[in-house]
Amino acid sequence: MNVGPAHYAALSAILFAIGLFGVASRRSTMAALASLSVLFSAPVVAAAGFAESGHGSLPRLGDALALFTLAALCAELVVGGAVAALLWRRSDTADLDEMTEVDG
Amino acid sequence: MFYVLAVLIVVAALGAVLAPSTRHVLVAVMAGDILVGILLIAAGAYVLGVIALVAPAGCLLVVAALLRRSGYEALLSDIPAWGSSWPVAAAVAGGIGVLLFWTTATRIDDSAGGGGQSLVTVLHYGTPISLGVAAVLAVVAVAGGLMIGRTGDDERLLDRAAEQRRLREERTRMRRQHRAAARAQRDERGGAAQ
Repeated sequence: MNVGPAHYAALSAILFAIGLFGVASRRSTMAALASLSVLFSAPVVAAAGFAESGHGSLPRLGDALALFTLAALCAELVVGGAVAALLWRRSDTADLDEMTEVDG
Repeated sequence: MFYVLAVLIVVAALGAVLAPSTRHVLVAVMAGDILVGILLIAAGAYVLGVIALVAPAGCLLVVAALLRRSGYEALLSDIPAWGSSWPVAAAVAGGIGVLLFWTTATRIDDSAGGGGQSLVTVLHYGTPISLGVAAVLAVVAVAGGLMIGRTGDDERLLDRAAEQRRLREERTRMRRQHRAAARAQRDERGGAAQ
């Protein structure tokens, strides 16, 4: 059976749903950040899968889109980690449910 | 090959979301990123695959190592996994997943694929401005992360003072408890003697 863009789209949808569930339900800041990176990998799979499979004649812009998504993912991980550290220093907890108020 | 990798990626993603320990979560995310990179290489996107293999897992590893070295181990501590609203989160995520699946996977034909230009050619001739923006974003993110996450001398002093205050209060509390326990014991003994 040939692997087409629809297969990558299905995998991407599953990854997006799993990541979204993690972001919305995890209580630890680092675990929520990790779930966010699962969520970000969904468009990477979709864009690269669209570009690499199928028989279209358009330039391979999907790969470029996936690369930009990866750059955003790395930025999210670095800045998210720093913000998590800052929040922990301010509120003395890594539990998102306890961060009801953060002073400036 | 696609099916095996797809199953492994989904298992790693589930592990990243369901694992009770934060360390296991980070390991699962790294495994998932590496598997996505292998999937892209297997699909023929070699440059992108290598970047996907190295960059996100490397970023996560560096962040975790920096947190451990800088005294933020508590951030990696295990916290009860689920918030109270997890059924709502599951319903919303499932709904959006089904919607995505229905609007993309079931309504796409095989003519959506790209042609023969390599990624480097596309980046160089097709999207040079976007490439520049992505490079600037990466540099700004690293600089911003270091700026936000750094600990200044004054903050270190304040942290040390707060830690000493916490220890002092802990010792006072323990002394008070011991005194109360000793008093209770004395009272018990006095009562028994009478």
